[in-house]
Amino acid sequence: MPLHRLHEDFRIGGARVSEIAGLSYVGPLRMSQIDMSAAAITARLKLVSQLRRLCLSLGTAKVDPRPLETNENVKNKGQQKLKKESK
Amino acid sequence: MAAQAQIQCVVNSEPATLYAYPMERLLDVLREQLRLTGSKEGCGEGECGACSVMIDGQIVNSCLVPAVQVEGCSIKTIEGLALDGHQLHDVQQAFIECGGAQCGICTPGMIMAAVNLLEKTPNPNESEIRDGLAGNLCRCTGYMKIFESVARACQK
Repeated sequence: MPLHRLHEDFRIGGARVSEIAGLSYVGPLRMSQIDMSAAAITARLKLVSQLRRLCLSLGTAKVDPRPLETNENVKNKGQQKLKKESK
Repeated sequence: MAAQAQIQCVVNSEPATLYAYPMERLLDVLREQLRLTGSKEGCGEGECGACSVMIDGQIVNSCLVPAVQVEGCSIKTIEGLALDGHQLHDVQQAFIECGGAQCGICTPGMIMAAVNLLEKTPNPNESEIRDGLAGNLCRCTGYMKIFESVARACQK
């Protein structure tokens, strides 16, 4: 199926291509406003590849068991330091 | 979230029904649903050609083809090349005889590109072989053996 046939009324297996292409989130935007050119779809698929690779690497990543330094922790440490100094 | 689309197509001369999410890559559908793991993922960006398959006789990088695009198409992968499932294709046999495969990651894509080249140009010269395989990268850099393999396949 050539890419230029991926328009609003084209259906595959009973579903609209706009739904298949994951464009339902665009709300009131019409398909004609979405770039469905071969270059745009290629760019999206490259992002899919990168995202997939990222997810796979996160799945096998070793997590550092040390607790993360959150803003709250940093703030508490600063307050404790000030208290010690005032004493 | 959008639902999976049902896709009817022919894979290696067998009718197949595939289910794919939006923007799912043909490579993933072939490998994960049909378990056709001969096509490899190299770069995932259409640069290396390790994922090459044929759609209606055209060689494509399956990592850059949305699965929904193959509705009604005929797909051929490396698994579908061997005749009757056991007799190797001439190109496959030539790769074995000439040592065209090293680590093997690029080999399925190289063979698909070579088969596509020979279908269009039955007796290619060296320049045409180089052009025909220009879209496929070999990280082992064993290009000379690969070119020899394609030339050997022409003689069969």
